[in-house]
Amino acid sequence: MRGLARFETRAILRGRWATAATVALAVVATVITITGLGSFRQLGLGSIGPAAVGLLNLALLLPTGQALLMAAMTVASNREGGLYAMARARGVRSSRLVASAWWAATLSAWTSIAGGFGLVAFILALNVPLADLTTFAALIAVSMAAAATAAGLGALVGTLVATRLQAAMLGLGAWFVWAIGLDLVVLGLGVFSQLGATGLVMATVANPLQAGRILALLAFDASATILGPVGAFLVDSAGRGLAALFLAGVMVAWTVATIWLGAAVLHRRDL
Amino acid sequence: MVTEPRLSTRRLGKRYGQLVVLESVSVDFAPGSLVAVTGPNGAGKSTLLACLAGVIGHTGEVLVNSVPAGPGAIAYLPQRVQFPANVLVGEVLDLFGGGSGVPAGFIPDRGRKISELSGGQRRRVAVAVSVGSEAEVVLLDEPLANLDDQGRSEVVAILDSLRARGTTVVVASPTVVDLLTMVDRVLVVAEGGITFDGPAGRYFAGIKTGIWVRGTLPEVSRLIADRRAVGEWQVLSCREDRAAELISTLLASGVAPSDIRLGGPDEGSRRGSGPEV
Repeated sequence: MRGLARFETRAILRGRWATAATVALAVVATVITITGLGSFRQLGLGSIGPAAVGLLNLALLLPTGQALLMAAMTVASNREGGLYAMARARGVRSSRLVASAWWAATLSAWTSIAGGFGLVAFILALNVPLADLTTFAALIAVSMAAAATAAGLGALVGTLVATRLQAAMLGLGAWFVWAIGLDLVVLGLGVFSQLGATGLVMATVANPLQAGRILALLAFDASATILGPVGAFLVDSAGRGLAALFLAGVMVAWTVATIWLGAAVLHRRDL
Repeated sequence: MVTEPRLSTRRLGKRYGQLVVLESVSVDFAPGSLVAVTGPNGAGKSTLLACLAGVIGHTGEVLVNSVPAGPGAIAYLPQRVQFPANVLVGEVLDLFGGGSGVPAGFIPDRGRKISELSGGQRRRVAVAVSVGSEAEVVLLDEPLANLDDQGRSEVVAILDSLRARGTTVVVASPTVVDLLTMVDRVLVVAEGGITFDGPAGRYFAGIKTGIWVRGTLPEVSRLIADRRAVGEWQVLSCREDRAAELISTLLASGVAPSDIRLGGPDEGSRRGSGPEV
């Protein structure tokens, strides 16, 4: 059973959804980049320009959605299709099953990121200063980390449902909540000013994808307005380096916790 | 000398909410034995196998060689198996270490994608994965489902070879006609427990409703006491001690297993359709 992660990675990468996600990412990223170059003669990666914001949102939204859905559906279909039952009967532990699905979904998202932003990297290399390229590389690194975190959430979602369809539905819902919904709620209620220091930290801890967004913004020369209340608070109270470390830690903690929790749930469920 | 059971259950129980599927089932399986678990739909055959495989929660104990099963001790084929569509047959076999215990030609080419296979071919791959390991206990839930007559007879031969090398094989199936010539023992699961536990001959002898045969009937007049036609079926009655021989003769004469029913044409679909013992 050593090849379980490799087996699942092949199954995902050969699927049309992984290809579609890569193509979609490549097309949209290229359009944003070319539009940015044409309109502003530079992308403004060193600070925040329209094209940079577009690339940042794209790098954090699409790969995280892909990773979350792929992980959720992989776990659900393996359970639904009897693969996990066959594996467990042979003594394969639930933690290994969940970790394999997480790794396969993460690799799938990373492949899409590499494929999708590969052309953008080439275009940027010809048109922007070296410093901007470093910022772009940091953005890609954060995108990969966020995808890995989202895959952990997806793996947990997959263990909670009975079918592939339920995994897709709950996965989409979870992605919406973490990627967009929580922000909308907090902004809509206007509660940032009332949260206080602990509340602001907790708001970050509760949303790993938001932590990824702030981490990505830290790679830019972003102002407090762009960083938002949480990012500004963290930078103000701990400095950029510690704030980045804290945000990365939040993402790692979520990844480990969701895989562990998913394994615990799967262990207790009938397969 | 008393042989220690290879696989055993002690007061095994399983319930889904208020529904009791298995209650205090204690049963032993000898090394190198082939056991058919049968019974009507919904009686708990699959649940029993899933409990034995350790893939669903239950009360009581399941032991392999008198201790809880260790990694690799049990191979299990669920009733429904769906491999990822984009992987190759060879990759599935490599993952589970299967394919070694089946004859050439039983499984499709290793380079074919799962999505290109028919239902029967996919079932062959699943069976090959399950029987090809080094497990001491092999649990198969309806391994003959979706297979044509040739595939069924090939699986039966594979099960025989597994037993010959000392593996304990437990097969769940709503019908056991195919397995008649070779099973050591039949268990009938119904009403939360084991309602029949004995050799195949005694199981067949206990069938009171006749042996139903579809299509052209071969020469078996020396074995039957009476026959009557019901639609496309011939209902044969015989002496209890000749039931097993009659079914063996029908199979040997080329009657397809799917054209033989014990207890009526809808055998296995009605609760309580097992033999009255």
